Amino acid sequence: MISRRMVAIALALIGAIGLGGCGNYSNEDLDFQLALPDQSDIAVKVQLSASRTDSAEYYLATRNAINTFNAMVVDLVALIDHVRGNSPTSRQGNRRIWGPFPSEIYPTWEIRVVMDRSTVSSALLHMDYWVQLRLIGQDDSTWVSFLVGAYTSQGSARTGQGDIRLLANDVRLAGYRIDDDPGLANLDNLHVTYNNAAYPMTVTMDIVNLPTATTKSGSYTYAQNQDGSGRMTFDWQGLTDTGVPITANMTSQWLGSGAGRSDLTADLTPNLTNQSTPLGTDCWGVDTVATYTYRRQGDTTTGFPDSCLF
Amino acid sequence: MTLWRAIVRAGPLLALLLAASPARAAAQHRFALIAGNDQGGADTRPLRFASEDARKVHAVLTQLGGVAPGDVTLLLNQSAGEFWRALGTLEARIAETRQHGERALFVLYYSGHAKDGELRLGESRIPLDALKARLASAPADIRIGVFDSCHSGAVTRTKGARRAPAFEIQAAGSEDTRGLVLLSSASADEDAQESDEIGGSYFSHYLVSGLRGDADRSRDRRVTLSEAYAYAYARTVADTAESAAGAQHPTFSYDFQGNADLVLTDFASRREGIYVPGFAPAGIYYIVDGNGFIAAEIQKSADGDRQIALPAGRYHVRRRLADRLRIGEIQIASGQLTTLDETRLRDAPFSDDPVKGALRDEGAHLSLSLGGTMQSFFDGPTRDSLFPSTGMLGLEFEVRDFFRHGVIWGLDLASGGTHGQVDRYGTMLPFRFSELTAGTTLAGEWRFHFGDMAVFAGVRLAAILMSRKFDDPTVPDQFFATFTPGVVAGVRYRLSRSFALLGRGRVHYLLYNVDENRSLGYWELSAGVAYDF
Repeated sequence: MISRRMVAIALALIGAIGLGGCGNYSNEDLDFQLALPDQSDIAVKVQLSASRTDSAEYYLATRNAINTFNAMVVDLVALIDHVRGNSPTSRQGNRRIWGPFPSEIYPTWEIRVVMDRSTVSSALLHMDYWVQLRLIGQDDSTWVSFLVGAYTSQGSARTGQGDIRLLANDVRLAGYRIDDDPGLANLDNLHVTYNNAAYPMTVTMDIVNLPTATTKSGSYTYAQNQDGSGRMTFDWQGLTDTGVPITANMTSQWLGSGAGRSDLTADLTPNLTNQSTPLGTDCWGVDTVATYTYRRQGDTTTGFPDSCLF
Repeated sequence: MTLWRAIVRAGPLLALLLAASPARAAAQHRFALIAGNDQGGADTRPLRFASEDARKVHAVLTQLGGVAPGDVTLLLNQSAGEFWRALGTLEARIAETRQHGERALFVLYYSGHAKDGELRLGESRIPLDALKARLASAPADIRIGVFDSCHSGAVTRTKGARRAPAFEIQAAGSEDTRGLVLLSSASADEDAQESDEIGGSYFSHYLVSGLRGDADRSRDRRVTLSEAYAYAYARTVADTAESAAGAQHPTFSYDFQGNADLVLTDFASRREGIYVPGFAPAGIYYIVDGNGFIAAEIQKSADGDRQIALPAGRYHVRRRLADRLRIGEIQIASGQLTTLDETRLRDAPFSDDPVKGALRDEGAHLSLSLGGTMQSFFDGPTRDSLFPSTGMLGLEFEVRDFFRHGVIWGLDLASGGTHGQVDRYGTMLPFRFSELTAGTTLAGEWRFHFGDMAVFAGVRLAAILMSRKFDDPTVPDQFFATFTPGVVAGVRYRLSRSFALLGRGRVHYLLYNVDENRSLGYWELSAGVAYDF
C-alpha cells in the first residue's frame, strides 16, 4: 500500500529533480550578448580593390592603415568574445558575470567579465561592462579593470553607440606582465568609440603610448556611408629617426567603386606649432592605379588633377 | 448448461436439497471476515481481481446476506498479521453474542494466492492447517470458510471432503444446526482462474451471481449455501473446461451436527433488482455494471421467470446469440424490482459487446502507439518569445494490466520543432526551436461500454530538452533541460482486436530557472494509433 509518507517523499523527489533544471536558455542573456560589439561593428568594412604592383603608393598606405586598424579590433574584441559565445557563470538581476577563469598565460591570475544592464527606456538599453584581472585568492576589492566598455542601443539592441577603453597601464601597474605581449608593450591606453545606429557609421580609435615610446600617440577616425563610400584619417605623433618631434596626418577617401584619394600632411615646425604642410597626394581609379600624384619632395606631379574625385 | 442439467437430473440429490428446511437468514447474528489480496510474494505474479472479488462478496453479504455493516471486516491487500488481528476481534464479538444467547454464523472468505499449504498475503503467510483449526474452533454455531485461490482444495482435505457438483444437508430442524463448512474454488492440484471478461475469478463471480438470485432453483427468493455452491460449481467447471489451464473443480467439506440447509441470501423482502418474466426468451442474460464488469448473470429457462437482486443503478444488458448480440440498458430504481423487457434490446454486432475485454481476454500485454502531439505553454509571453508552441511526433510503449488490472505503465518519447523569433529591444532574432521529451506514465484505465471506449487518467514524469539555434551565427545556441511532473487523461477507442485510436491530454508543471525561478505550465494534446501485442 502506498502510504502518505511515500507520496510525500515522491513529491519531494520530483520537486528536487525539477529544481535541477539546467541550461542557458535565456532571452535576457541575449540583451547582454547583443550589446557587445562584434568585429563587424568596429572593423573597417570597406572592400578596397586588391593591390597591384603598380597600385598608388598612398592607396597601399591606406590599405595598410586599415589592416592595422582591423587587426587591433580583432585583438580587442577577442577579449570579450568569450562572453558572446558562452553562458554567464552567474546571473544576478541586471548583472551577469562570466568567470573568474584562470589566465591561460599566467595561471596565478584570473579573469572575469562583468556586465551591468540598465534600461534607459522601453526601447533603449544601456550596458556597462568590464574585463577584470586579479591574482587568484585575493578579495573582490583587488579586481583591476583591463577593459571598460559602455553601450547604448538605438533603434534595436544590436545598433547603437559604444565606447571601449583598454587600460593597459592600469594592469601593468597592478603587476600583470602585459609587456610580454609586444603589441601592448608600449601601450598606455586605447579608446574606441563606435556608432552603428545610422549612416554614416563611425569608428574612432585613440591610442596613447607610454612616454618612453617612439610613437607617442595615434588616432584613427573612420566613417562609412551607405553607398560604400568612406573616409579614414590617421593622425600620428612621435619622433623622427633623428629624434625630432613630428605629427603627421593621412586622410583617405573613397567611393563605393574603390576609386579614391589620399593626402599626407605633417607639421614640420620644430616645436609643432600646428602648421600643416602637404607632403603628398595620390588619386587612384577603380583599378587602384594612380591617376594623379603629387610629392612635396622634389615638387613632382604626374597625371591629371582633374582625375581626382575629391 | 449441460452440467447443470446433469445436476437437475440427479433426482435424489436434488430432492434432498430441495427438501431441506433452510435456516433463515434472520435466524442468526451473522459475522464475516472478507479478505482479498492481489499480491502473493516474490515468486508470484499479481492477481488482477482478488481484491475486487472480495469487494463483491462483501457487497452481496451486506446487501442480501443479513450481515450488518458493523459485523463485517473487509481486508484488502493486508498482511497475515492484520488478518489474524481481525479474526481475533470478530471471534471475541461472536463469543460475546453467544453469551447473550444469540446464535451466530460466521463467514470467512479469502481470495488471493495460495501455495504449498499456505495462504499468501503479500510477503506474509497463513498456514492453511492453522487457519482451518482456528475456524473449526471459532465460537460461532455455524462457520463457513470459502477459499478462492490456487490449490485451495487442500483446505477441504479431510473427512467428508468431496469434489462434487453439489452437497446436501439433511433437514430435521434449523435451530440446533452447528458445524463447519469449507468451500474451495479449485481442487488441491488445480489453479484458480481469473477472467478479464467477467472481471473476477470464475468461482467468486458465480458464487456472487448465484447469491444474487440466479442460484435460486427453488424459486423461494432465498439462496441457500447448497444452491450457491451447486450453481458456482456448475458454471465454474463449464466456463473453464475449454481454458488453457483446464477445467477448474470447486470442492467442499463439512462437519455438521443438526440438519438444516443454510440460507445465505434472502431477497424475498428486498425488492430491488431485475425481474425476467417467464415469456422472455431463454438464455443467459449478462448484467453489466458501469465499469464494464458483469455484475450478475441470469440463466433464464424457457418456462420460468427469474429474479436477481442488484443495487439501484444503471446497467447494460447483454444477451449473446449465435450470430449477434442483443444489448440494451436497464435502470434499477431504489427499492424497485425492474422488469427486463427483452423486446427493447437491440441487435448489435459482437464488436459492440459492452463487456469489458469482450473482444479479447488479453490480460497483461504490451502496446505500442504512434501519434502526433501539439504542445503549448499557458503563459502568452513565454509562448511567444521563449518556448513556442510546437508540434511533435512520438511513440509510447505501454505495459498494460501487468501490475494490476486496469493499470498502465508507459514510456514515451517524442520529438519536434518549429520556427520562432524573439524581439529584444527592437532586434528580431529568428530561431529554430527543437524539443525532445522522454516520459513515464502511470495511469488507471476504466473500460466503459460506450462501444469499445475506455478512459484513462494518471500521472507522468517527463524529461524535457528544449533548444534553439539562432539564424544569426553570432548568437550562441541555447538549451534548457529539466524534469516536469504532470497529469494525463485521455480516451482509447478500440478499432479491432489489435488496433485502437488514442486521444490524450496532458498538463505539466515546469520550473524555469535560468534568468529567475518561474513556475510555468504547458499542455499537450495528442492523437494516435495504438497496436496491442
